[in-house]
Amino acid sequence: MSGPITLTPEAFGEAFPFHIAIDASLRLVQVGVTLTKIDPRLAAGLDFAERFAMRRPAVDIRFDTLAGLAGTLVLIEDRATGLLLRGQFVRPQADGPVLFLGSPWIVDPQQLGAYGLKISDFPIHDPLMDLLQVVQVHRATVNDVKQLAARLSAQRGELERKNEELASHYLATHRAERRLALQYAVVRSLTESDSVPEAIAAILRNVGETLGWHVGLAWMHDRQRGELRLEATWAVSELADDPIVTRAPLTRAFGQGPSGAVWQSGEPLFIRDARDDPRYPRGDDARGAEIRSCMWLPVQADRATLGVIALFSRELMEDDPGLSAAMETISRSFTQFVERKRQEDQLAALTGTLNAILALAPDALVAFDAKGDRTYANTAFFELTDLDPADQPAALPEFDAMLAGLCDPSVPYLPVSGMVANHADTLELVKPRRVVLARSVRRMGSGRSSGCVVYLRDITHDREVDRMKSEFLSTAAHELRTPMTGIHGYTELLLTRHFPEPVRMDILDTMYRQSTQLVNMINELLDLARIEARAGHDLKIRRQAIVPIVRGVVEALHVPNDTRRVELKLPEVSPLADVDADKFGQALTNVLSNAYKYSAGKGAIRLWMSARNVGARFETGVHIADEGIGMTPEQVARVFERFYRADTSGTIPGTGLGMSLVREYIELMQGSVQVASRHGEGTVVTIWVPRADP
Amino acid sequence: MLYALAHKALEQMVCRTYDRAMWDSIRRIADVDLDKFITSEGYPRAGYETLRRAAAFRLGLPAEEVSRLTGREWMGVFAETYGPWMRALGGTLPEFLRALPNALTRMTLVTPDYGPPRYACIDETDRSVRLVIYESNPLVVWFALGLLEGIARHFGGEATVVPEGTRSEPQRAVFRIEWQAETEPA
Repeated sequence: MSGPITLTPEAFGEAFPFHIAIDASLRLVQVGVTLTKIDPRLAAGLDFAERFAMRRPAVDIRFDTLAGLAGTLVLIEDRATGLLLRGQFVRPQADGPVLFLGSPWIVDPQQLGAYGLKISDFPIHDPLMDLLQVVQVHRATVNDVKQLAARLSAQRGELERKNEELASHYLATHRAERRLALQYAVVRSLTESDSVPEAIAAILRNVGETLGWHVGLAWMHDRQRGELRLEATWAVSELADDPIVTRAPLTRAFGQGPSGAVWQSGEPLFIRDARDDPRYPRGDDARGAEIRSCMWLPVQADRATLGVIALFSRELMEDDPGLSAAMETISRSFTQFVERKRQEDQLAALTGTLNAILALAPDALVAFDAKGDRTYANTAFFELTDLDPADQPAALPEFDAMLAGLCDPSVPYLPVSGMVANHADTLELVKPRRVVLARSVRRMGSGRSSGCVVYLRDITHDREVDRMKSEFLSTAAHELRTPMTGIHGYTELLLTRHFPEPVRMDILDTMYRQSTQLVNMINELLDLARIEARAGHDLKIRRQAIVPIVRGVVEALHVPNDTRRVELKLPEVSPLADVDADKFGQALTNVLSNAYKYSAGKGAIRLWMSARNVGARFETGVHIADEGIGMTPEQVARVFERFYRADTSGTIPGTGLGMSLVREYIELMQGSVQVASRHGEGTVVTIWVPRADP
Repeated sequence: MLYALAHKALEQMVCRTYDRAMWDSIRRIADVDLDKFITSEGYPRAGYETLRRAAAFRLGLPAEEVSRLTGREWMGVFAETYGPWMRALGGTLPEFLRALPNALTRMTLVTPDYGPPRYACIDETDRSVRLVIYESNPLVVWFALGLLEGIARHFGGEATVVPEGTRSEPQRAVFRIEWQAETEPA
């Protein structure tokens, strides 16, 4: 080889480690060192056409063909190793061999290893290494990107899973919060509700509003009728008059319709789209109101279904299985509310009754708690003490001070605050009026720290009655003993001695008169006792004319040793009155008898009738007047007392019970008796009875 | 600009020596928005420096040691990423070291922003070579030390790397690598 640049074989081999020199007979005359490294058999002397194949261009291998390819990119293949070599044929000298200058055509760095090639086997200027490096970098990059994609995909999957978990958790939390809000709202509504219907309406409204429904209906179980009864409806304002509300069935039988079915099963029912669901029978109403989702919830407590709540929405709603548990809690709250309300009502009724009883009680009652603060005082207490309820003593010491101030200061007052056990005594009040009180203190619990109730009973009247009873018994015994003494004495005389007939007759006459007086007195006492015992129940009251009764009494009246006649002035038309004729006549007889007795045969005895109005009532009066001894005002004031005698001389016969009987009889006939008298001039007694005629 | 191998080496060093939780912790401390490194992509050098400082803080190691460990790890990452290419560089330690300067130059052809230190092999014998690294940054020198240790480990045998100090004019560090016999990859 010669030319402008002369290379040593070593330098040529280093510059072209893959060269092949071919002579005209197609024999290899020189082979690059790296090719020989790949396959040591590839050496000079081999036939090029046998060892190599032309791949590009695919031509037959002939020496002149190879020489003619100068300036053309060619690709040849080593048949033995499969190695592709790219390069060009050159023929530097016209009569010299053809040179193939090239390098392996490798596009995968792995192939380097397959051929046992290192980078140092290639000339530094060979760009194949750069190509392989680019390929290697790209492959590594693709690998990185794939790993990154896989990692991102995994992260995405994880994020999606977490997102789903979060969404699920959010939904569960949201629902739980909503249910809690619902329970809170219901409990708050129940505390503010005054009645069961009000509570049902509040529950329905809260369930609807909190859960975002549009219409709500509440049926409650009517135990008496054995059916569900529509108790409350609720709707957003634009649906308030819609048929879904206004045409809601008022009652539902067991198993009838969705609400009856839920009542029967005790399980909630959710219909996502009511328009096409045959389970919802009111499809037309639903379509009219554009209702989509419906839900029926049983209102249950202790496994008993109290009612059913139906909810309707214009939007598609999602079922919330946790709502059943929330509804159970709400139902329990509702049941407790119903029970509490029932107890409150009972307590209120009982309290009302007790308050009424205590308010009507004539006796004073004051209660104090354990701290000594007053917790109750009834009306009778304020009436008894004349205290203003606004200024009432609020604490036990003040109460004691107030009561002590009203009592007789000469009698020591025992304070309630000092009593550690039940106690009873009497108090004599001098203010605001003089009364005697029976005081009972009942401690509620034991010791001074317990509360107490102070009971004050006005026993002034009882004391007076006791006094009057004692006086009456004393007087009656005296009055009965007086004639009895005479009868006893005369009887004794007649038994022990013999008297001439005239004397004996005189004694017997006296005995007869005294026994007659005794009989009359006993009869009148019995009459009075009967009146008090029977309270007028044995009176034979009927509507009748008064004048005939008056005439009958006057005509039947016979007064021994007195010739005077009663001067009558009676109306022609008799007024009517509801009276017992016998008792009315007896009252007239008593009054007329007194008129005779206390006028001692002198003066006129007159009887006339009149009429008057007492408010809206008409009364008929029968007036009986005498011109006898008359009475002082003090005597008039006591004229109706039993055994009271205006005559203290004892010369005028009588029992002292006559006027008492008159007043008892007339008052039983809804009438009254008036006495007007002037001492020394005479007396007028008027008997008034209500007129029965118009 | 640094390419992904250095970042990958730092990440892999932490994950292999400690665990991924430690690497995540270092990333949180560094507060660098670098998560996954792609071989052909360039990454800011500042981000790498921040990660390395965070690693030194979190691992309780001097910055030089982190650089050395990262360099040692670099060879593993390189073999994993460029396996066939690395094998083409050389089947033995001397072969690989001799090919290294040209290989780095070729790397700059493919990734023009890549500016690796310049290497040169001098004083070659059958049992040793001196590798000169023309670099003034001491952390890069420590990284190179680790890198050479990693290369030696990769090829097995009894190779040792002896730092022979740094010299100025020009700034360079010299390492003497000695081996007992012709070594092949472990």
